[in-house]
Amino acid sequence: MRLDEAPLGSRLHVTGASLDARSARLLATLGVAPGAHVELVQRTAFGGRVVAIGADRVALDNGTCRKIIVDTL
Amino acid sequence: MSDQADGAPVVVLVGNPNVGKSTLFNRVTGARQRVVNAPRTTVELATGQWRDPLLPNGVVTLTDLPGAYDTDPASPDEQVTMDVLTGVRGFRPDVAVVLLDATALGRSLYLLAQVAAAGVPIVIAVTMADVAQSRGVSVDIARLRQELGPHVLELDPRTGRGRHELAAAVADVLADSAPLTGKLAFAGAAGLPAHDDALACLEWADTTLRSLYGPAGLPRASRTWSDRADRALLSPWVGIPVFLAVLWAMLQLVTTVAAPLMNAINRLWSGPVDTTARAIIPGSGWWESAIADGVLPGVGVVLSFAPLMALTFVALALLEDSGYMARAAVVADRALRGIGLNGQATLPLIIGFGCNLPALAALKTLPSARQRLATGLLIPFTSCTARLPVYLLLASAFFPSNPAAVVFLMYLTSAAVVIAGGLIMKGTLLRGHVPDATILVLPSYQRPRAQSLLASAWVRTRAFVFRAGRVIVIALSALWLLAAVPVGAGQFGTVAVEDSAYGTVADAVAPVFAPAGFDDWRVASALLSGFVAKEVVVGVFAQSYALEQPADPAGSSKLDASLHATFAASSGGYPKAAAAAFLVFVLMYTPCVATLGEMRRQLGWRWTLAAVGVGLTTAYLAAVVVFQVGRLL
Repeated sequence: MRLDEAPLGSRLHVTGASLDARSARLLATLGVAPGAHVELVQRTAFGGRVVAIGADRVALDNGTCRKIIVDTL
Repeated sequence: MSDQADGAPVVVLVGNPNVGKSTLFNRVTGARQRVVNAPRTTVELATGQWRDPLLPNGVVTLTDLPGAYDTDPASPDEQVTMDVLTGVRGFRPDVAVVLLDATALGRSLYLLAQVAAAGVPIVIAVTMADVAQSRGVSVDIARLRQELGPHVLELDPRTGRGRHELAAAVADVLADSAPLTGKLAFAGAAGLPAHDDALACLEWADTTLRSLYGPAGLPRASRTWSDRADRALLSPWVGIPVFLAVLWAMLQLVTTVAAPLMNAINRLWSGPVDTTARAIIPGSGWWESAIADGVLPGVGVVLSFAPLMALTFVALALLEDSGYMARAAVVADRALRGIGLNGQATLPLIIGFGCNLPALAALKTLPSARQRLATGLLIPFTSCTARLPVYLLLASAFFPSNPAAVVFLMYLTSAAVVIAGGLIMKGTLLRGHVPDATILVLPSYQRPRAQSLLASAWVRTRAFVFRAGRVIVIALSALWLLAAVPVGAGQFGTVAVEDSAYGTVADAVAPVFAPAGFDDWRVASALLSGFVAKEVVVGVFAQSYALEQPADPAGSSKLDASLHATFAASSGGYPKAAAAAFLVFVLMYTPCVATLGEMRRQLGWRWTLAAVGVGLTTAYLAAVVVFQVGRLL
């Protein structure tokens, strides 16, 4: 499923992302890359999401969330 | 006091944004620092003296490099960081202090790998350990030492706890030229990844993380009050009103709150300081006028803006250090992405409607150099409050049935010009610099520390007074000189404005405005004076008609009648169209000299002159169109 469709509070396994190279590199730097485990912790204004990677929090816009594919753990 | 210690070792601070680098820098350097742009860039570097008895000879030169997640060459900030570390900028630091964010060890280790691979001796300081602990993620410093070598320590930049241990570790590394041990030794060996091999560095960071926390990687973090606060502050129902309230408060700060302070300095300057200066300067020659009417008012302008800048810097540091700025960027992101700007650009652009000068100050909150440049070029098009008296004067004189609507229209036009400018830059200056995705790290909310706030505000205000101030004083002195030089009749320093070089320039410039309907030396003179400060345009109009400056610009019938006569004559019978064109010109032409001084400090001469050129051209073309279309209606 897409990240924006995942239930709030769920632990997720990132399986894929179809982003431009620069965004994909930044996300990988922040720990959101295929194979990574993240947690969906927040919904933001205009349909974005906040994911937790350990104690870190990263906000993503709605368009980006639609391009990240995840499985629930 | 010099901010660089001659011959002292050079130490740089490297780390992700919000890791506490600048807080540490302010704490250990205090006021012994200055902010400069990296050569040929708009990226700011703060450099200062770090004094500690444990350091070699008690002092090193410390440079705070821009926060970076990566060494992506597409980002000027990250490029500057890597250029310094790899010695491309002419010098190589003796030691890099890499700050690791305990709440985000994965990305911190990735940057550490890149810094280590650049071959600079390293000391590692782990920050935010208390925040990570509150989220259920602990960092074992002893384990990190086993993995990364002996020079790993815990540090709290906000309280300064651990700074002496840091000084001792830096001294150790300076004394030992082969400090890379443990896993970091990979950087010094042959065949190991280059600093720009992102994949290898990512793999190294991941392997290190798993050896610290086991095969599953980082443990699951517990919820904190930061998460609970974000539930409200990132939601549309609470987050947007709070964001608008913050913008309103900033606007109030740069207008209502700052005004009495600025007025007090102005009164002091035009009263006791002016009287004393004239009493001290011997005789009554041109030199008295040069100092009392040329240089001193320039210094007065700079000093009157200083409290405004200081207030703005404190408020911005408060928003940044508390962690709210990142939330503001999330909430406002959608509004500005359409024109290629980051959500954080909302703040400087809104402040610009109060005053362009502190708006430029707010550029420092933007994460990338290209975004700072693009936003900086748009700020002069935001209609500052100093332009309001001009709008009110012209609107009530030429559109008395509904002056408020005219003023409102001016603000709408300003917003439209900013949006149009953003769209143009999105396809030019920002092309390739607007990522498809919005990805923002949210630091934990923290209580700001007064010492760090004040140190940061003091250094930046001082940079404004001495660096932007120099340009302002020179420009104002040059204008005085023009007004003092007689052309034909009159004596130097006492000549009437219309007989001076200034009046001659205004007279010579005036015909240029014929296609816009305001070919008149008084109008041109008012516009020239607007370069000094938009506040004085109304006064210059009044002066040129030998009238007192009206207390209320919307209520002077004599001035209204004089303006009517002037615009009617210059426009060939279309005074309303000419007045509308003049209003549009005032909205869009060059900002005041104080703003230009700060712009030069932040963006350099090239971009400042380009901004002036574009502003004047756009204003002129828009005024001509408004007049030519207006007289057909």
